[in-house]
Amino acid sequence: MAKSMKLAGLKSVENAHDESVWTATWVPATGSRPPLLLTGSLDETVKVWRPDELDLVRTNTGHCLGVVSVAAHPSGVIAASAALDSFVRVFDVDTNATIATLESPPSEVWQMQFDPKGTTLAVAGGGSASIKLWDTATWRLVATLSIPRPEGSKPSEKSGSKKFVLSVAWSPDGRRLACGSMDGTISVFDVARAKFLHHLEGLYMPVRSLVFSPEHDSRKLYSASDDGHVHIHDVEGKAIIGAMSGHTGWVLSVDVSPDGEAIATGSSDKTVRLWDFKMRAAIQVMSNHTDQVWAVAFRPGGRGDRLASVSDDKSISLYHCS
Amino acid sequence: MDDLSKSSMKFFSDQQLCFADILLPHEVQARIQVAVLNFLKILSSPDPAISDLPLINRKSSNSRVSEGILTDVSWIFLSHSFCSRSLMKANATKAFIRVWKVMEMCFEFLTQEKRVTQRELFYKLLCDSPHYFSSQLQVNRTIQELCAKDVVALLRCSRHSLGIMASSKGLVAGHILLQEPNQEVVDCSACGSSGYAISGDLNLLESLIMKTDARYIVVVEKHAIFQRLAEDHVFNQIPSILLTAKGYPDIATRFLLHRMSRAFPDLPILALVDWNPAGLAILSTYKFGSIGMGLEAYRYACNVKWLGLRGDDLQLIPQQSLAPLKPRDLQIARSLISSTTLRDNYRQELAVMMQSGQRAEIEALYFNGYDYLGKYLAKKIVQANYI
Repeated sequence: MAKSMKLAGLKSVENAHDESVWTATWVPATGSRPPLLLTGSLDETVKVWRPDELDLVRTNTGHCLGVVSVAAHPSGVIAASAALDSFVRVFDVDTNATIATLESPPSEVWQMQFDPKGTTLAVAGGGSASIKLWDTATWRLVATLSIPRPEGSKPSEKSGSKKFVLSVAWSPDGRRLACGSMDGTISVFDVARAKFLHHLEGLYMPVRSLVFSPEHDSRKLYSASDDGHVHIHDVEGKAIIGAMSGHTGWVLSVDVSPDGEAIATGSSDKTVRLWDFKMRAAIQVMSNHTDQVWAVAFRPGGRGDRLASVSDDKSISLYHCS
Repeated sequence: MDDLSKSSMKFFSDQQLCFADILLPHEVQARIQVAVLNFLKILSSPDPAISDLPLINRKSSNSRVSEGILTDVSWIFLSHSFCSRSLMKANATKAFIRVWKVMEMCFEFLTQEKRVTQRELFYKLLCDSPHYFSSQLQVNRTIQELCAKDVVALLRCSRHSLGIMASSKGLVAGHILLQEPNQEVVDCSACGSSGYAISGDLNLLESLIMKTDARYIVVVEKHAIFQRLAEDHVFNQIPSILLTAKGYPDIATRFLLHRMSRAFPDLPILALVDWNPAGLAILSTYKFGSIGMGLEAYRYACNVKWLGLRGDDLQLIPQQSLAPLKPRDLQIARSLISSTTLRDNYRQELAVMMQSGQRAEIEALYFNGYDYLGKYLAKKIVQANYI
């Protein structure tokens, strides 16, 4: 019988931020420091926390509007935070020294992710209907992967047909980039050739979070949608492999454990759910949050034994996985 | 071409007196290019011998000079023996590749005429070559291999020439006006207890316009003491300039002190350090350059005199503020004693330290009251009680 994962609450911090906490990510360990948790909030700050006690290490200020996304470089040395003011700030995690500030036109910066090697930062481009790729050594914009207009539409048509890109995910081998839009479309790009490959059809409501399964040559993509389901897609074959239901609200965030065994989601129904992919069902529901859960994140690294969740209720929670 | 050959010829000179050159960007780029060409030459020779490649084993007793690719100029490769084993290990090959990666990145910066700190270089290398770089220490070591590792360095140019800015911890306060070109004049007596932060950019420090009516320059070992003296406006009681590097001095702070000593040659430079071997080591670094720390550091030596704490001052502090010397202190003391540059009277002070087995910090003077430090300083200066 397959090993079944279980979550147990470890620690919660009430009023971790002054406003809703919208985003969270783990910063991998460096040679001199264990993994840390980064959270970003409507209160315009990014906070750095040390597990398991969730001691506050630092509060980074400087963004002019709410922080929508935080992302960590695979080395654990640097990280990036993006806000609604469409500025991305790249900083040294331990010293908070600013390394670069990336500017974009308004509403063209949403979720971000560093590629598995750390050479490129992909930023979901919101209203620009594209993914922006920034080179991490020079911090220059090296590519814009645009979602092509639907066939038959004229350029003069209202931009309502243009997709608003919310989420982005790298495949573990760094060869594919997927992005999710407000209208439910998931677009897949070939990174090396900087080319649009195809759409993954079947969803019609905002796709706010995407994550590939962790095996190296993975073609499996998990999506979280406002339609309340988690879908599993084959990015090459374009088919939907499966769907997992259970949430009673929008699914705002999805993440997969480093060993690929378990999937966690956060939802507007205020719960965090743990799913077993093989059983296609939720095996656990955590209801400690009192408002929408905006982000869930498994700690990277072999054991994947920690999960963090953040919520509109301004709190962050840490769970032990076994 | 003449200058290039002259500068290359220098490498032939007495191995004992090795130093790192300050070069123009195109000269450094030329050296990088020759390094690459030489490497290719070795690789494409009928009998490529790994033992001819430098960078791996660094013992001065094993160094030889080999012919370079420019036939009328001899090159600086100091080849090393016992290398055939080292490249077999994955770590050694990565370290070898790191050197070339750093040279590549610095070559680009030199073309763009950009300056970077070692930390910024680390961020770029981390992202550009994630397979080879994962820590700041690796970057620092690699730069040392290029610039300043005992008598052996591939490019033998200063870090500064490579485009790498020092980061500085230094601070200045007191009776001196500093002006960066096209900026406002900064009055360091009005900077509060934090003082004026010394930039890591040597070019900028070189271009600083300095004016002073001070009579002395006081170099302070510790930040806390510097702050105290600045807060108490000690530099008004005796017109002086206060300077600290918050411990062991970095290149930028030493550079600025050196500039001050040349610009204001009549100002005695006095050092206020703890009474322990580390304090004397810090004083010696300002005085002579880094002891055994590489090829660049000799350059900014200044005539610094030892004001305090010295053996005679021990009567001013209570017995209980004396602490035993630690093993590290003894280590430092031993290396100081073996250095040929140490003067007799300094040697004597060191001997007293070691014999008593004790050390004392400047803070011990506070036993006599918090304003005692200022009075102590003033009295010693007025009595010209420094060696």
